[in-house]
Amino acid sequence: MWHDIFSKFEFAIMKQEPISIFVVEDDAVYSKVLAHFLSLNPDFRVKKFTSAKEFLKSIHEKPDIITLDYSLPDSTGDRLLSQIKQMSPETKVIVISGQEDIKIAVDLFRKGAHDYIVKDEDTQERLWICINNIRENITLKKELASLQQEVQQKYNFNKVIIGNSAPMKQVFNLIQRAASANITVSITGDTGTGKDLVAKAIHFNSDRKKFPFVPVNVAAIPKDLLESELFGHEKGAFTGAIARRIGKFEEAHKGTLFLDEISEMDLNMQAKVLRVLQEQELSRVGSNELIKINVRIIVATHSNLLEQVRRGRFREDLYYRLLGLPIYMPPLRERGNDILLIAKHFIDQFCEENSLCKKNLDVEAKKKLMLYSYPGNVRELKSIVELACVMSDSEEITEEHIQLNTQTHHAGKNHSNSFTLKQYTTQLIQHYLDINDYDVLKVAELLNIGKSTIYRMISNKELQIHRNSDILNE
Amino acid sequence: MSKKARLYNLNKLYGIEQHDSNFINDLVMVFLTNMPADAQLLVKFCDEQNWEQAYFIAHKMKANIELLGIESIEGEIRSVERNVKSKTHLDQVPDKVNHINTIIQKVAEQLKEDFKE
Repeated sequence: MWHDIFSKFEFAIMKQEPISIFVVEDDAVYSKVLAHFLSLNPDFRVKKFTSAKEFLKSIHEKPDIITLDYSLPDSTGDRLLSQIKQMSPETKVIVISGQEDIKIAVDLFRKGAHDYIVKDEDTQERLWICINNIRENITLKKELASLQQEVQQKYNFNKVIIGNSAPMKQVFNLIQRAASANITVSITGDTGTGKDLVAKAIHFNSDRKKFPFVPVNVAAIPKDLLESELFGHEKGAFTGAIARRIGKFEEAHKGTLFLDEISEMDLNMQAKVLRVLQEQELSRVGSNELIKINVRIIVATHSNLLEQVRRGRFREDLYYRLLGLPIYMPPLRERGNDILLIAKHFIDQFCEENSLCKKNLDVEAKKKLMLYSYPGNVRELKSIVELACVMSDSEEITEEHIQLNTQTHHAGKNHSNSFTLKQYTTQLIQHYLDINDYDVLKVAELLNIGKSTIYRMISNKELQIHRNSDILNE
Repeated sequence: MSKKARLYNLNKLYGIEQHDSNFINDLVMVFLTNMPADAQLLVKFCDEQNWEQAYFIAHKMKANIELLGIESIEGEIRSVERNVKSKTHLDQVPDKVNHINTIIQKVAEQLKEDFKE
């Protein structure tokens, strides 16, 4: 029978921490049976005590669990329980009694006993289950503490947001300021620049880090659902509201609410959010009850909010309330050598996650990465280098492994003012090649340039051919 | 082990540990050291009408009697424990404790016989 119980818990036991158990029992036979039974699990460190006096000498060891006989010759269970709770409050006490007495049980629970088990033929099974539950609890608590630490480490912004270019140093400075004050933060920047990382870095480095960080992508939530998503709703507030639901504002209580793509919020909703921010209280949809909230707001947008205000698409009063500390994330193309630092970080990360050998960029590959304009910013760089890692068979990533997304590359709107004429020319020719199936003669004719110029640029690898045909042999 | 009828039954203990005969031996030794003396003490306390001590010892013996599977006195030890606690039917207690003592001494003999080196 006990072997069945063990196998039932085998999985639970596998990854858990060892725990210390004190068996306090004056009856020699029973104490031996209990101690032996518990020692069957090699992770249980069991010590036996036959009197309260003897046991109290060792209480400073603060065991995880104590099984306590209710009637000891030199003390009673409840007196001893109070002493344990005073000297080692974290220890879980399971009282084992020969008597099933509800009054005693209630009293013991009030004094902080974890469980009350009556000595009968099921004692061992109940004890085993009880100890395993406690153990699971202890393991979860330890795991939670280590995860919290890990999350804090993870969002240590110097490690997560990579870069030492001048614009990024300015960003780090602002993150530091934002983290140490309770001010609303508005983050702007092109798509893929890492606005969400900045928001997380601020939260996990602030006093609010032990409370929730709740991200909401306003653009991803249908307009009609946004109100209930943000403020929650009561059961029956509208068709389909089958149960009460806590909104994101409430969920983020004492923590941080990150409203991404805030510019996508409609004017009606903006008015409601403004009211909540001003009053620091909200009511769920379908309820009149006002709920106080304490939430730090961080907003992000890729569009120019002031421009939206001018066009009448964003409320001016909300704009000024949300502006707080503005942080501008520079596009990757303005971050100089950061491109290579970030590329290296993503390569190392990707290789580690996929058990690939460590890879490095060669000089040409670096040049190629540095010359690109990255309309998709860091997100795009990540996918480019990850693809390069997959394409490269050796420890080196060469320029041919770097496949730039030339379609978006020539989209036009993302061209930087810092491009040289030659870079523009190269991009333009590449664009024409891309849309004309790499027909060099046609492109030369369309652009009114010599075909040899294009061939030379191809052989110099200034232009990419993404077709299988070997165009240089033509 | 002798094939004579036994007053005890170690199935419960073997249920806890099927393979560790050392553990069972140890436990039997602990039982032999404590239980016969406890049974005599129980008789003594009842004679002296020291019900508090009688309850304490009966309570302790109950768990061991169940563990050793001494079924013939399981009911008796429970009722003794109950009677001395509530101080009811005390007139029936002496007979019961004497019977319990007799059985425990017999069990001790049987165990000594069965577990001798």
